[in-house]
Amino acid sequence: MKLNISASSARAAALAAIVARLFIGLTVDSPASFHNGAWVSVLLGGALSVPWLLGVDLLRQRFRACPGPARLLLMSVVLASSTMGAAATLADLTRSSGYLSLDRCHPLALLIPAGLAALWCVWKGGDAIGYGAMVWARLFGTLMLLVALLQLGRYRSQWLLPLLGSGWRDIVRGALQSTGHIMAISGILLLPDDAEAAEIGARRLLRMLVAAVCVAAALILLRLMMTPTMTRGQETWLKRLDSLLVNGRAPLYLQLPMIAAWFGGLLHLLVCECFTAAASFQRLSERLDGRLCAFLTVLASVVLSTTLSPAAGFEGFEAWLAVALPACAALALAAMREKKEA
Amino acid sequence: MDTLQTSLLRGTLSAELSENERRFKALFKYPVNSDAQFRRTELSGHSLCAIYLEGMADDKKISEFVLRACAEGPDVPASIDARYLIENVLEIAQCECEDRVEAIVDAIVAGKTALLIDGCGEAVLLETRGYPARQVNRTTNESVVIGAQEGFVESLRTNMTLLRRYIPSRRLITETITVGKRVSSAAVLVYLDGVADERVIEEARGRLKRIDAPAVQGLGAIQQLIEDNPWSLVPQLMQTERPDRAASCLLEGQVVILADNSPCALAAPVTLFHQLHASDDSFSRWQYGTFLRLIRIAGMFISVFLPGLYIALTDYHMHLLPMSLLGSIAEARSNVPFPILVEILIMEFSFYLINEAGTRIPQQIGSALGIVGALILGQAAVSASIISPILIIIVAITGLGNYAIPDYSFGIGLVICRLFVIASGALLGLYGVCLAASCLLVSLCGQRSLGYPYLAPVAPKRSHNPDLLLRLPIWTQCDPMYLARKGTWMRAGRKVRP
Repeated sequence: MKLNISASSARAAALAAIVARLFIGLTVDSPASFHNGAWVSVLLGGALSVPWLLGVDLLRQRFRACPGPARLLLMSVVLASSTMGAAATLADLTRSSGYLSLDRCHPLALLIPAGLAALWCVWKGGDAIGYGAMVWARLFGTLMLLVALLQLGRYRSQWLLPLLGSGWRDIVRGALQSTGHIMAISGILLLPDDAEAAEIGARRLLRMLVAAVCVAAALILLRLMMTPTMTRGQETWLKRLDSLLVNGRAPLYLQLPMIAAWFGGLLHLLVCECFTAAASFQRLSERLDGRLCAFLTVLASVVLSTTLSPAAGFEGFEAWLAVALPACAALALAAMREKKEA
Repeated sequence: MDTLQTSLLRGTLSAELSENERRFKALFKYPVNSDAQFRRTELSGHSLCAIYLEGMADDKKISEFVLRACAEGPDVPASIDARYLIENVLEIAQCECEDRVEAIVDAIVAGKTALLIDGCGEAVLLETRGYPARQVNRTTNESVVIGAQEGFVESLRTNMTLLRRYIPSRRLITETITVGKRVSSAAVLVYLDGVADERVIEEARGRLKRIDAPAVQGLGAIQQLIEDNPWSLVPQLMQTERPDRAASCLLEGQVVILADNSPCALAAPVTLFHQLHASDDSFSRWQYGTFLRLIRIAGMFISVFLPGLYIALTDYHMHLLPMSLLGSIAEARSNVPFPILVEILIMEFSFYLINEAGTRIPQQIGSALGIVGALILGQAAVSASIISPILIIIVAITGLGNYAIPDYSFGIGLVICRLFVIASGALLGLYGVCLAASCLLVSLCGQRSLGYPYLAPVAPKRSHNPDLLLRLPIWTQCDPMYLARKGTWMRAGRKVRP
């Protein structure tokens, strides 16, 4: 079984995953980046990712011409980053489901079903995941609209002030983090084999990035209007999750759409990352069966997620990624140019 | 014995009538096989033998247009052949010459009459099919309030005629394909030339021809033998017993498969949205059609998720329920000895037991089933504190949601999905329901029908008329679906607003 994905499916999967990663990453995972200027960080991060995404598209177009060692290096980095990303998402899933009345369950009892679900979805193929993302994007939009409507009378625009939050330094740090998040997801964009004209591919990628960044920024803005700035700060991960899921101060029974959006977003992110990891693993050794690759990468993510401490470790990882991936891409491009000249 | 039969079937007719007759008697095991009829007659001194199966062929047609025509026939030359008989003697419109023994046997089995001629190596095959068949009647499973009421019947010929009545176009093509390697039966691939995509026609034709089963019993078997993923819970071809629905599929560029002895048609490729559309939608004004369709979609979601959500919320997330509702549930459940999961499974099982029994029960005692269902399983179970009244409401709404789905097979698939969601909700609460929903969504997205994505035109996005989740005004629907051939002559070209 070959783990293939078409370019349009990869873009759809990436769009939904980027929105989820940026939103979760900035609002819950990284307390330092969640301040009134977080939406500016997201927009800035999106702008910083443009050259990277154009590079990814260029690489994808010429991937077959890419010399062996450079391709292996690039795929190894994608494999590592997406496995780590999947592990982080699994950890988030376990913690949040534990928080929602399943705290007496053993973590493995929460991890294994999520791992099995991810495995099942990866086995269904890349296009199924991409099409699923297209449907999820619509569902997510409907859920968020419902969430906004439920909260409409309670949003406080004055809580957005000061507009730049704790200052440019934090905004830039958040922007780098956002770039890291986008880069972590963008591995899936390297996988399609479609022969798509370079210009069209780049235009569509940019459109996808703009849409993802704008949606994420809008969601963060809404989130910022839910709780006043002074209550944010040194809260625990669970406290931040709680204040997100309670949808501001909506009655408890009206929180269902937010919970569905949270779990749905995380699950889509998990599936997308697991697929990227499995497919990049298969690109490392074409003889391996896709099902086996999927099983091994999901297993690795499950094992890794049990050893992870809460999100703090990931901030460093994202920063590392923001350096490692462009370096690999540059190496691959240089190798390609050398090959062409030779 | 089989080798002998096979050798008899091979080859062509000889010029000797008695030898041919012996051969066919051996093939049909005459006289042990009492249905096979060998009727000798003469035409101006030429011996003829009519072979047919009693019951499959119309006796009246044979005696009036074959035997009497021969007895009262004109003087004929000393040497005659099959073509001479067709042109000068026989009074049946559909006749053909055939010399291959196997083809002649197949025709006789299908109800035709073979007329063997002494001194001629060819037989005349006469269209004399006249077996009893049900009259065109109301549909039983796809009833509508407004619109055509007639349904397909078991006769393939009648079904093809019904389709032709709905689409009186010379471009409606009906290709007969024989399926079944040992016992063959006829299937017909119907499509609208220039509307259905060539790739779809090729794919459907290829799959029908590749059927390798020794015998194919109707469309149900054909469906299972040609669908993309036999392991899937949802059907990837749509069965309909309504000719108007099949005709509407043809007009949208899909192909339709008919088979003998099947009172329905198979349409392909189909999407999830086809399974949620009903014939009423296009008969009603757009506002009513849209409203009813939204009710149906809500019914589908309720059918799959309501019991799972109920178990998740009452077992794990009580804090998400309003206090008054939580109080009512707790009070209603206070005397019930079973956990909610067992309670739900008992009710679901009872519901489908009644459902299945209702399908099989003789009509005369059908009313007894209602009494059993309503009194014993409803009232008595609540009185005996086996189940809580609120659960009866949940299961009843779920059942109603399921019945709102127009496609019967799709409805059954959803019931199985519901059990999966119930199990997930019981094990992991809302987290489990979300996991199950993700798996179901990706599974549906990975599904294909004749190679076309099952969730198109939503995922992947394709151009389509505003007739998907909503049924917007009919004048806005100027193009056939994306399934149709590009540049098809069915395009309206402009909005035909009144």
